[in-house]
Amino acid sequence: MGSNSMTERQSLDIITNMIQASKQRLTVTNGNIFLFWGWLCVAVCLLVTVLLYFFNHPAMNFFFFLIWVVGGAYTERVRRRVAERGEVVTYTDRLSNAIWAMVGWSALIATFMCLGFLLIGGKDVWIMMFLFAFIVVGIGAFVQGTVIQEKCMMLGGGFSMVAGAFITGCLLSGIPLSAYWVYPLFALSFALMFIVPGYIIRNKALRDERA
Amino acid sequence: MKELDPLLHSQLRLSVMSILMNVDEADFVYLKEKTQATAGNLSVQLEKLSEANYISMTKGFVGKKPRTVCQVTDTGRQAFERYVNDIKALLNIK
Repeated sequence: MGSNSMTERQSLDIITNMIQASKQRLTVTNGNIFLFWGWLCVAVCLLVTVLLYFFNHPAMNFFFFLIWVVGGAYTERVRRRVAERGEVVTYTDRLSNAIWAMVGWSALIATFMCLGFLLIGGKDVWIMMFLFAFIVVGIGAFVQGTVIQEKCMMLGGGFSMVAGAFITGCLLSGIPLSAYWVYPLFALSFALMFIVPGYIIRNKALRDERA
Repeated sequence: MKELDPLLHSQLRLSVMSILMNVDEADFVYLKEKTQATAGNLSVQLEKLSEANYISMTKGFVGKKPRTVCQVTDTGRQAFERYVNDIKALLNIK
């Protein structure tokens, strides 16, 4: 494309064409990132449940750190790949990035806080991470669903927040929490927050691509 | 007759501005792909838009690769809106 002048009609055509060209990227995400995080959290949670069942040792919970390791590596890979092929950031992207940066960084700080409490004998402090996952990630998913206008994700986030409130109630009422129902509830919440909406968003994106 | 903003009344600069008006920010590679311009030409036109304070350019690195991110400024936004209104007026579009 040159930089020469043109008629008014051509100007309007250029504006229209460029809006169309960048419109594809404006149709939010293709859902893959939600599917990745959803499947990762569910898979790790089920792995820990199975390991706890067979080995019955609390150290198995350390496998939850796989979420950080695998998730961090994948996110960095995606970031580099996107930067290489040319990146455009929409207003929706900026909001989404802010939501998950807030959730991610606060989760990381909470993890270190738990490790600190663990050092002074607070062995049950990891419950806090579950409450965090249910409530804070739930809020994140709800807001993300609102931003991209995906009702299913909003419902998933709502379910997770309610599950978090229920577990808080159990804790405060002295009802014992067992990995055999808390972990599957965790997996269900993540499936409803990310996996189900992820497939819906991906199908919509594929349909838009074909249209 | 009202004169159109000469800075925007050019194919490549108008294309870049149209894209940037549509998004929050876009990098050089994306703009090059969408406008199908050569790197050299795009670079020159971006510099002109930047000098007029129509866009802001942030230069950084991803790994070892340089990366330039462009964003439309308030001045650029106003100029673009004025340009579109002027075109509409010239073409008698309401």
